[in-house]
Amino acid sequence: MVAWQSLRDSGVNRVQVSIDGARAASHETLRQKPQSFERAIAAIVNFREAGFSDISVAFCPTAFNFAEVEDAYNLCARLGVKDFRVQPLMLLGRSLSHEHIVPSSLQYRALVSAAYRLKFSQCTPAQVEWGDPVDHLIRFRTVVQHCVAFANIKADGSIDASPYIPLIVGNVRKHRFSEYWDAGLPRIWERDEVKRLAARVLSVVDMGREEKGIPRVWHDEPISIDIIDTHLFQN
Amino acid sequence: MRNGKPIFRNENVLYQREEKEGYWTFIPKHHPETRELIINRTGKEILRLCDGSNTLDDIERTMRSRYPQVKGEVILNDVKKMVAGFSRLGIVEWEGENPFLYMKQEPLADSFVMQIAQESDHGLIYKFLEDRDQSHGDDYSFHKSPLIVPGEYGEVGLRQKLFSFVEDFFLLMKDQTIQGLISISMPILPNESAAMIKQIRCPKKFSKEFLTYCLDSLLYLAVRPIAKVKLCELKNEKMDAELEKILEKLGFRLEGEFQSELGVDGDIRVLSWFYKPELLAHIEKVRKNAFVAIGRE
Repeated sequence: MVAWQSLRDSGVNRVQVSIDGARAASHETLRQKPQSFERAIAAIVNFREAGFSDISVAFCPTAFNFAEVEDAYNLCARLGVKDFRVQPLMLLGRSLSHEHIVPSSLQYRALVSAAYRLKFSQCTPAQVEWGDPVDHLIRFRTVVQHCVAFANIKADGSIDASPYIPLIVGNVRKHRFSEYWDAGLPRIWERDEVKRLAARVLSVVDMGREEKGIPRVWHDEPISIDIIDTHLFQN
Repeated sequence: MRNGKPIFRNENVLYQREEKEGYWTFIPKHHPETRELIINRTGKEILRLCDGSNTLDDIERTMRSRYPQVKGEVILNDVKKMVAGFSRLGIVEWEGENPFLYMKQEPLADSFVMQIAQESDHGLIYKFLEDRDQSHGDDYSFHKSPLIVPGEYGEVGLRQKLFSFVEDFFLLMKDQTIQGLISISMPILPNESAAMIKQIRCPKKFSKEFLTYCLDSLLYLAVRPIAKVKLCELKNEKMDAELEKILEKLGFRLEGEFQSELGVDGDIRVLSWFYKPELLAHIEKVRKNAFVAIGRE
């Protein structure tokens, strides 16, 4: 409990836990870790007890768990989860070699249909969202390119413009985050090289597509620049 | 099962009769308003192979071996046309997924095919709508709902529609390019049950068949419960008479008129097409069974 509490005291006010099924068997088939379902549930309970009110759950649909989405939602709602986010399984990193578990188009339709039922039911305590991982890649390069209030910092300190394009634009171990911000990070989507990388992706299946000279996200070493060291936005 | 297997359901046939020279007439049980279906001896053979043990590829292979003198392409088209058409009318059901609802194309005449758009068709659709926004020849049926807001079919808006299945796009293709499109949006509000035709852009010679394909397929695809499909038009900007006649023939009827609607320039006429309650109940059952079956894999 101390760890959860100190996390909250340090200023973290929103947490997300992955629950990939209504049953341990489904969750652990995807995660490949015994007891991981039990531990994920325990994490939600502990966060609640530590006073977190903004807990969200991410559900990753597969061909073997998509029919459990309503039960998984109900389980999370009972645990006091605020948001239940479902996002398509993307063929990136490890999942590249598990194409057979990607839901079919009709299975996705069944899933979205269930999401609408939950959304419109009179007694849904948690919000449900069918999240689109591609939307921002189109939106950022077209309608809001001049000010994008989004940045992603990875565990190694690197900053990317999007988790779904293979481009690192800085690292908080080199410069402070606020320095990157002031150096033009919110305008990174004005750059043609960023737009070009994003424009390759118009659908989920485009994400894992191989293209000569372009690293695959979560698979190859990304292209790396530093917007401060290269004075990218000096003018 | 992704590679589904078609099954002929005799119990879904209201009436069948053997005619002269090996022809057969069918009337589907759940589409009594339809359409008499007439098939020849080869069609009957294809139907017999729809026994739940063969995939579409298996059926095609068997027919090729039985008719080596016929071009493979012709056989493939016949198999697809027959199985897809009978599936839409509920006479053929599927053990597993019906591939015509997401990956297979249904053939028409002159190498045209009809297909249901997927998320990955975003680029093609965007370009088609951009190129053809205003330009249509006289040989095209055209309708654009007056309720469409500016920018609705921009890159972002189109992506949202495709990804969330809030609007289904039916494509008429030839040589891998879009030649026509019909889009139908889902109801937005919780208790609403009317889908809405947003756009029709289709060569006139295929308008009736293409619209029929969309109306038949929509029930199997819809992510919200629907009971009817409506089409709104401005009273002072009526669609061309031929399209109106086709809609009338299909069973669309005037449901109402709205005066001085907010956000549109004029009064609106609403034409609607109603699904029969027995068809809705039947498809609900088929979809539920399919959902249980594919969830079990």
